[in-house]
Formats: sequence, C-alpha cells, structure tokens
Amino acid sequence: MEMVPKPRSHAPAKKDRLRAKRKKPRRYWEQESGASPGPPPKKRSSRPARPRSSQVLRRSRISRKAQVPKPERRKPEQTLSGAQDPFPGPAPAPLEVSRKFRRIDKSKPLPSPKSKTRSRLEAAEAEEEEASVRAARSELLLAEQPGFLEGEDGEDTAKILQADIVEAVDIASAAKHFDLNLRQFGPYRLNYSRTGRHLALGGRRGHVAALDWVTKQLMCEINVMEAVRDIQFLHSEALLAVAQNRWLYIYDNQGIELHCVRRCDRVTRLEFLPFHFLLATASETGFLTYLDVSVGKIVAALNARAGRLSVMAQNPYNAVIHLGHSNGTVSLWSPAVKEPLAKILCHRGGIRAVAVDSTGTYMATSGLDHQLKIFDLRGTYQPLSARTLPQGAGHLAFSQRGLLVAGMGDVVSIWKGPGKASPPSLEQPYLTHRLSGHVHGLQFCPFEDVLGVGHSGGITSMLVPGAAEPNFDGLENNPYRSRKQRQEWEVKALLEKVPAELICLDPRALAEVDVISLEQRKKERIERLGYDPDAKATFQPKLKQKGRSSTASLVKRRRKVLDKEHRDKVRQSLEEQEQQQQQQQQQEKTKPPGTRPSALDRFVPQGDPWGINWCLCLLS
Amino acid sequence: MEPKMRQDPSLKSRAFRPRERKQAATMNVTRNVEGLLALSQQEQLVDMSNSYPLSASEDEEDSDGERKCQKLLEAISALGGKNRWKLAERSEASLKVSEFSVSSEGSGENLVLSDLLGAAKKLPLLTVVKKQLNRVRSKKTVETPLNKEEAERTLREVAFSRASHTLSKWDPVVVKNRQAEQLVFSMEQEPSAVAPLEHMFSGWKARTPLEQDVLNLLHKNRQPVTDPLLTPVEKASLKAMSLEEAKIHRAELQRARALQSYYEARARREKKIKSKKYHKIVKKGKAKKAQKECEHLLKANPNVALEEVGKIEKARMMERMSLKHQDGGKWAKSKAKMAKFDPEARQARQEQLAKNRVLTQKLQVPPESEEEQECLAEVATLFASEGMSDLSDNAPNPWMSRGDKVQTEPEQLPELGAHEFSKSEGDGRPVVVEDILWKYCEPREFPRKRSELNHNAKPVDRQTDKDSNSLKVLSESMALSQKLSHQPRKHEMSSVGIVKEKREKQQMIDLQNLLSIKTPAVKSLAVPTIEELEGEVERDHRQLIKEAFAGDDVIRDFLKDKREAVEANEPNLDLTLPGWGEWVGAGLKSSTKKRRPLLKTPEGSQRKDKNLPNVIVSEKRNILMAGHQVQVLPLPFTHYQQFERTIQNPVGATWNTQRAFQKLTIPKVSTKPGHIIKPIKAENVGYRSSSRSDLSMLQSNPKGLSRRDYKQMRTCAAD
Repeated sequence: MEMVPKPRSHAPAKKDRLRAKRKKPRRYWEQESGASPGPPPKKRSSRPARPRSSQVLRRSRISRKAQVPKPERRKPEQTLSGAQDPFPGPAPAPLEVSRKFRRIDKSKPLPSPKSKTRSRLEAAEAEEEEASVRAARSELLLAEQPGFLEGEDGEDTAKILQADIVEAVDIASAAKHFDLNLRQFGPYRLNYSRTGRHLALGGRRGHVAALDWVTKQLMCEINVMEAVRDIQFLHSEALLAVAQNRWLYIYDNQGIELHCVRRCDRVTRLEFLPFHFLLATASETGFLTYLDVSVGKIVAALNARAGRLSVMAQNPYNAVIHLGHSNGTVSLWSPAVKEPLAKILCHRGGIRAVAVDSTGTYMATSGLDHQLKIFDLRGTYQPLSARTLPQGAGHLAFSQRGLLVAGMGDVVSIWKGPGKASPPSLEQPYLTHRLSGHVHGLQFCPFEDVLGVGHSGGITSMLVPGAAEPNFDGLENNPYRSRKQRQEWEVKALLEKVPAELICLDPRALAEVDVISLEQRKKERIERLGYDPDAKATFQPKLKQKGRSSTASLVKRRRKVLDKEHRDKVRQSLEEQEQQQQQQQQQEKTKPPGTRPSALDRFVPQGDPWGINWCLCLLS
Repeated sequence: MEPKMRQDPSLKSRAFRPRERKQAATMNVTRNVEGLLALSQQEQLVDMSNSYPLSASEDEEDSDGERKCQKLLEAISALGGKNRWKLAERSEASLKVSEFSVSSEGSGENLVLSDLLGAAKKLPLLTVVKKQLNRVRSKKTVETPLNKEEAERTLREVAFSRASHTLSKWDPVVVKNRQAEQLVFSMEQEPSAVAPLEHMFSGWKARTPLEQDVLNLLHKNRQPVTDPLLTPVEKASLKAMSLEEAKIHRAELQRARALQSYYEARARREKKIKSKKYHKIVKKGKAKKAQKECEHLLKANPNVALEEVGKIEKARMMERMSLKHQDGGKWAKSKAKMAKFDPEARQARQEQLAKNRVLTQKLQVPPESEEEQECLAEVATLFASEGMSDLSDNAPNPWMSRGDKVQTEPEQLPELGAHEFSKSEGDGRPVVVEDILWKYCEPREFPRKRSELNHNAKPVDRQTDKDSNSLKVLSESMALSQKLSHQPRKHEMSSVGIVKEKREKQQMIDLQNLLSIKTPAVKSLAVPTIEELEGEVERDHRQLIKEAFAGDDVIRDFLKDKREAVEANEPNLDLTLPGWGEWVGAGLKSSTKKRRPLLKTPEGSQRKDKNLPNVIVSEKRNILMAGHQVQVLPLPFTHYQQFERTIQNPVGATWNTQRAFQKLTIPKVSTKPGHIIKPIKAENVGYRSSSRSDLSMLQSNPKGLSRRDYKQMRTCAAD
C-alpha cells in the first residue's frame, strides 16, 4: 500500500468518525464488513464508472475533469481473442490533486538554457510530473472522509453539549469522552504522544502520570514531590520529559528517572521537535535551550533578552519556535541563529498564548488586551482576523485540521474555518464547553476527534467532531503499532534525523543554491586565473580577403560591435530611469495637493536629469 | 603468391614514357591512393600476363607474319596445356645466344602490342584473347610509388577517416546511453514479453478428468475453448454494434465538420467587412437583443436573469480592470488632438470620458458597524436620490470594506487634530509615516506633545469606549500618526452633479491601524464564570490593565527596536576626522553636514520587512544552513536557477509514493553479480557492421540480423 505523506495538505477526513472506532483489530482474512478496527468505510464514494473506451491524453497522463469528449478515439489494441482492454492506456489522475504535489517553482524566470541543460531540466520536470501523478492517484487510498457537526437549520452547533454528542455517537467513541477528577494535585498540563495513543499528565503539585488513554491503561504514576510546570513526550511514548521546579527531568514509561538535565533549569515550557529530535525548553531565566535527545547534547542556548519566558509554541511546518513576550511581540527562533529570525508586534499588552497550525500558515495569539488574533505566517505576518474575548484566552491550540481552541477561564471555545486551508473564522464558535476548573493546558489528540483539557479539577477529554486528520500514515505515526514496530520506527527515524542547523523560516531552503558563496567562489577564481573564464569572449573580427582586412578596417569593425553593445546598455539604463521618473511622478500625483510647497523643497534631489543628459550625449 | 611488383617486360616498355611520368607526378594523392588500393586487382592482371608467354622476343621479322601468327597460335594452344614452360625455339642467329630464351635484339625495334592485335583481327576464334589483350592495353600503368612518409601519411589519413566513419554510427548509441536513466548489464537479454492469455492456452490440453469434464461442458454449450474467447453470437453482436456505431459516429463527424466550416467561412467573411458603420450597427443590434432577452428573462425566470446580471457585472469589472477607457490610448490621443476642430471627435471623447468615469467609480458598500452606518447614511440617501442606489447594494467586497473601515475610524476622534482632517488617508508611502513617527518618538520632542495630547485623547477614549471591549488605548505616537496621515477630504462635484467621494487607496498597512483595528467582541454562549460572579471586579481589573499599559508604549519600543535593527545592518560609517576643516575642543560638535554618512546602502538591497511595520525580519545569514546548501554548480548548468529547478523535487520516501521513490532512486548502472559484461555489439544495438572487425563479429553470429534490425540500421544511416 502506498501511503502518501502530504506536505501542507488537508487530506479528506472521514465523516462522523465518532461512531467509527471499534476495539477489535481487523485481520486481513476477515471480511471487510466484519469487525474493522477503525471506522468502517462508510459513504465511500464508489469509483465512477468510466466509459468503455475512455480517451486518454497522449502527452500527459492527466485528464481534466471538464473535458469535451473528442470524436476521434484511440482504438485499443486488438488481441487475438477479440477481447478488448476496457480501460486502455494509463489510469487517469485528477489534475487538481496532482497540482498539489508539484514542487518545482516555475514562477521564477529561467535564463535560457543550452541544449544539454535543457534536457536535464526536462528530465527533472518529467520526474516531478510522474511523481505528482502517482501521489495524486494514491490519494484514492485515503479512504476516510472529513466531517463536522452540522446543526439543523438555524441550530447553533455551539449549543450542543458534550452529553448530546456522547449520546449520539457509538459506544467506542463515547468512551473517548471522560473526565479524570483529580482535584488534589492542582491544575494539570497534558501532552499526547505523536501517535495519539498515549497521554501524559502533570499536576502542579507533583503528580505525573502516563497512560494509554484509549484503553485507560495506566503506564506509570508517580509524585515527583516538586512543582511540575510542563510535561512532554519525547519521540516515542517510552520517554517523558518533565519540567520541574528546579531542573528538567526525563522519565521512562515505568516512571523511572533516567536523566536530570541540570543545564536546563527553571524550565517553564517544553516543546519537542520530532524530526530533529530536539527538546526546546523556555526558562524563567530568559533562555531558550535546545537539547538534542538523541545524543544528549545541548545544541544551542539562546538568550531571548526579553525576561521570563512562559509562552512557547512550535511551528510544525518548519520547526521554528515561537516565543511570546510581555512587550506584545512574538519572536521566532532557530537554534542556528543567535537572534530571532523575526519579531512580530502582535498585541498592545503582553502575549498570553501562541499557537501555530499544522500547515504553518496561521498563527493565533492572545494577549493581555483580551484580543485573539490570527496572523498569516507566509511572509507578511499581518493579522487576518481579530476578536475581543470577554476574558482573554490563556491557552490556545490548533488541531490537525485547523480547528482553533481557546481556553478562557473555565470555558473552552472552539472555532473552525469555512473550508479547507482557511483560517478559523472567529465569527461563531463551533463548540463550547464549560469545565469544572480553570484551564491550564490544551491539546488536540492527533488522529482522534478528541480534545484534551487539563484544568484545576483534573483532566477532561472532549469530543470534537472533525478535529483530527482521519488518515494516518502507518509507517510514520501508527497508533496501533506494536513494541517491535515502534523500535523499528525509532531506528528509521533516528537515521532520518534532520540536523538542527537546517531549521529556518523556509524549510525548502535546502533546495536552493547558496548564491552568496557561489559568487564569492567565482570571484576568487577570477582573481586566481586573472581572467573570467565564463565571460563572453571579446569580439574578434573575421579575416577578410581582397585587402578588406587592413588594420584600420579591423579596428573599425571591432568598434562597431563594441558601440552596439554600449548602446544597448545605455538604452537599458535610460529605460530604467524613465520608469523611475514615472514612478516619481505618480508619487507626486498621489501627494496631497493641499500641502504647501516649502522653501526647503529646492534642496530635495530631483530625478537625475544629469544622468539622462549624459546618456543622451552618449547616444547621439 | 608471387611478389607483388613483378612486371612484364612488355608493360615496362610502355610504362615509363616521359609524358606519362609527368602525369604521374601531377596526379593527386587520392589517385595514388586509388592506385594503391587497386593493387590487388593489378596483381591478378600481372599474373595473367605472366601465365601467357606472349613475349615479343619470339617474334622475328615483320615480313614473317605468318610465322608470327603460327607461333602465337602455338602459344595459345599451349595455354591450357601442361607444358607451359616450353623452351623457345631458336630460329635465327643472334648475337647473344641464350639457351633459355630468344631475344629480339638485333631487330632494333620494340614489339608493340598493336602489332599483335592487328594480326589477330582476322581470326574470329581469338576473340577471347583479343578481349583480354584489350583489357591489358586499357589498363594504365602503375605510377611511381610515393615516398615512404607520404604513403604512410596517406594511409593513416584514410585509415582514420574510415575508422571515424565506422565509429560515427555509434554516436547515437553513446548519446542514448549517456542520457539513459539506467543501464542494465548484461545487455543481450531480451525483455521477456508478456504473452497474451490465449497464447498460453493454445498449447494446453485437458488431462485430469475434471478438466475434461469442463471441456466437455464447454463443447456442449458451444463455448469457445481456445482461440477466440468470444462465442459466435457475441462476435456477431460485436460486429453489428461496431458498424452501427461507426456509421452514427461518421455522420456526426461529418455534420460537425460541415458546421464548423460554415461558421468559419461566415466568420471570415464578416471579419473582412471593414465598414465601421456596419460594425456599429451589429453591435447595437446585439446590445438590443441582449437587453430584450434580459427583460424577457426577468419576467420568465428571475434566477437566470440574476445570473445574467451577474455576468454583465463581471464584464463591467473586467472592463474596469483593463482600463480600456482610460485617456491614454492611441485612439483617445488622436481624438484629443482633433477635438478642437471636430465636434464629432469631441463628442466621442466626451463619451469615452463619461464611460471611464462610470467605470472607475467605486461602489459603495453597506457599512458593517452601526457607527459607520450612521455616518454613511447621508451619503446613501444622496445616492438614492440620484438613482445610484443600485451601486451601493452590491455584495460586500472585503478589500473595499476594509478600506472603509479604516477610513471611517478617525471620525470617531474629531477633536484630535487642531485642524479638520478627513479620513481618507492616501499616503502611499509607509516609510514617510514611519519616519515621521520616529521623529516624534524622539524623547526630546515627546513630553511637550504628550502633555497636549493626553488632554485630548482621554476624553475621546471615554466616549468611544462605551463598549469596553474595544480597547482604544491610544498612545501619543499613535494619535500623532493618525493626525499626520490624515488629509483633507476632497469633495468633488462632477458636471452632472453626482456627489462623488474620491478616496485614494490605502496602500500601506499602518502599524497603528494594525493594532487598533476595532475588533468585534465574541458573543460567546458560555461566558467564563468568573466574570459573571465578579463582574465589577473584572471591570475594575480591566481598567487597571488599560491604565497600566497606557503609559507603556509598546509601539514606540518596537519602532525603536526596528530602527536599531535597520541601522545595525546598514554599512553607514562615520568617516569624519575630528578637527579636519573645523574647530575642535570640549563641547564643540562637528557640523551636521560633515557627520552625514558617506557610505550608503546599495539601492537594490531592500529589507524584507520594509513594508511591514509590525515586523522585524532578521537579515542575518544562516551560515550553518549555508554549509548544507549547494555551493558549486555542476557542469552542464550555467546558472544557479537552472540547477535549482532540478533539485527542487524531493527524492525521499517521505515525500513520494513507494513506486515513485523507487523510480527516482534507481541506480544508474545495474549489473548482475557473477555475470560477465561483454562489450557492446553492433547487432545488439541494431546495426549491421561493415568494417572488418564487425565482420568478424558477424561471423561469430551466423544467424545474421532480422528485418527490423535492417530497418533500424537504415534509419540510423539516414541520420
């Protein structure tokens, strides 16, 4: 089976997942209608019956949907028996979907390539097309489809209570809604493992526990006898990082203390970057420390110079860490650079919470000014929408499919976007829920329509239909994996570990050429050789017969060519200047006419008339 | 074999005449070469002439023709005979008597071949010999051999040209192999063709009783067993269907083709008509027709009509976008020139201007908030009275609505500025605003303004902040910036009398606006309990926060940070030499003119955050990352962008399907362990070899080449 990992894509999720879960794992020898582990394939749109001889484009393997059937059809090859292939040619692939998997950026103009280079480029493009078509075809295997709660006309989904949802869904899904009443050990932080199967919780007063929350099987439970600030699973559920009052500790799934990392002290927040095997810690002392958990070394300790750090989020798209500061800015960090990659002024007051969605496109922030804003992270960093919340949001989280949850006091509100890849619209909450205590930690469970809320009264697991990605990649994050499988995966993941230096704002930067050092090298080479080997050779006039190749005429001819080149250059620069002038004129036009001319205007440099005159002289 | 250069005396006699020599000398090299190559043939001839003892020495006097003839006859009769080497008969006394041969010495004359031939004329039996002799005569004599160096050189040249010619046919193969995705060795293997099912079945026979039973059953029911897998009935039906289908299909095709040609012809004809009047009439007719249809639709089917209206609207938008009716066109310019003299041109121009006006008019959008509604109510009524209301009730365009919002905002603070400023803030240059902002952020000027403005700003806050959710904690700098960015509103009365509010686009995102955008409060169902319980306290708390952050100017700090970041990146150097050209001493400052930085940033390099007031993007280069990037262009590429394109597609299994991954990572060369890789052969690639070495290979493969191979070879040769 080919599973397609999709970069920044929203895969179709299944409909009404909640009814779906069955406990018994499906075996391959069983019928499909029998007990199936996940959701039974419901409402799976059957493959549309194709015409007997579907026309196939010869050149590309892509068929457009709105295609006028051509009268001329390619005849399928005759076999001896007269039997025909009912579907001749390669299988069609949807154009839209395959476009999603195109990776070559064709927007940039290319300097015209020579034939050898062109053949390479063509080969690369053909490869890309084929890979994208294959990926698009295998989308068919993502059988589960998405779905949300939909109120009957006029009904507000936010009014639907958890109890109603639980009543409506099947038993297996209903079992996913539960409350852990743990009033004794204070407000809880929680974290789901990457597969979504395990849950770790840490109470302020030292209670640390890890459990397989689906089966409700407790893995370990200890009291660390110290304040627990944050808790985080490392790459697998076997390791657990706990930020305690003084140091950072690492426990295994039996609750045995493995490490005490003294280099990370007074840690307030933890984030784990799964592909880099980095544990990012934000501390009270104002340091952001990256700990490589595969080798146990501190990769970078960066001083944010912004006081106590208590707001942190990671961008799952590019592994950049977002820190919220008390001066209303959010700073973006990479372990490779000592200063923030970017600083965004988001709020008037301090930042209370930050969250980034799974595609790395949107960032949600909430500040002390009681506002909740959604920012676009694609280069502009501008707010897309903003709302004022009655009591400001203290905690924010995005789900895999882009739902946004905000914890305000003892209330949790969830917003959803209108469509795929759109930011959550803050007009109307999708769901709300009141808890028995103040919210202290929020996380959507991966691959399950479940939201985990840690609060002062314990832990609540809420049902949020449509929150999670319904199709999991069995080779990457398999919730049903065995111990052996997990070990195999661990080895593979370690082999594919991404170096920490590669973290930057654009994760595709690796596919770019380092232009600066390239040019530097070129310059050095020219210096070494004394001439530019790549430069265009100077014009050498041909020898002519019958006395026309005298020195004077040679010089003349050479001069002709040189002059032509020079003229071209001058013409170009003239055009550029004209454009600039036009722009200036436009700007002057847009200038308010009401402003009075000042006496100092005469000192303002104007245009560059000299340059133009000079050029004109040259041209004449 | 005999030695090659042996020559007959008779030939020798003819060979070295002075004239011929000259010719031989002037002969070009190629002739020589030909001569050399023809050597082998000549050898044969030499042999022949040797075998026939036609020596002239045997002949006697001219008078003795008969005798000569007889001798010749004897010689010829001895041709096939056993005793070829008869001793010559001595018939005359001579000076030198040899016991082996006769010499013609003494006669004082050379024997010429023509003499012999003349004698042989009469004998019809000797035609064969005559022919042979003729041939011998027609042959040129062998030229002088070239000297050794030259001969060798020519040989080398020829050999090279031949070798390169024979090798050049491999060029396409080499190119193909170089470009191939994968080379598989050993190459002789033929791909195992997948045989159709029927072929597999043809050799199959029923053996087991079950199979036989099944076969019987099939036979009974007259089902096809082996070759054609279709029953006769099926076949017939197929045939019938296909014919019918084909006919229908053909008819359709014909019809379509005919229609198309008609339309094309018509279009061509109409396109050719140059009369403007005609086109005008056609256009008008079309417009009328469309209008009628629209009216009709309105009555019959309002939904469709709405769609039509939408289409028209879209067309309008397109036209608006294209700026077709601007004044700058060729036609418009010409009309503008002529307008002075020609009333028609004047009118046409006016019409176009009017159209332009209508098109470029901005649509009014129904405002969202109540305040805006109020403030726009008057305008709306105006519009309504002018019959322009249809313009204002369109679907809200988010871009326009945003602009409106921003524009209407400052109206809430009318007292802010000492002068009347309108809301349309049309300054397209953010930099200016920022500069001004920075200027005002300077601590020197600040306190004074602050005291002034605080006075004004606070009551405003109270007024507007009735709804306490919208935080309007206006800092001084913000107020200033707003004040500065405002412009007097322009009211323009067009000639028709339509009130038009001309607004200029807000090109720049203002930092203040960013943070102070009025955000609607969430109407949440579940309000956090705490607020319900202690609402009063909460309100107080909020006030507290507001006051706490009012003085603490986040924006100012941020702008300062940004300015520092920008300045740190600039290579501005202070190149002043103290005391150079001016006085120095304690308390003396060098003049501002001299303090001006001499090095400026290059124009082309712009900061990424130049137009983003709320962002500082670090311009620092990630050196560690650059270490992982490609730093040298591989060979065929001349520009880095070309190379970038080839590496942009990821290869790993994480980003690709299994098959695609396998195909992308296929090894360049695949071999089988334990197999000998033989050198490439011509017939494997589809050539028939002609050179000697290739011949030897052909011999080793006596089967020869298939027809297909011949064809391929021919095409290759044509190439």
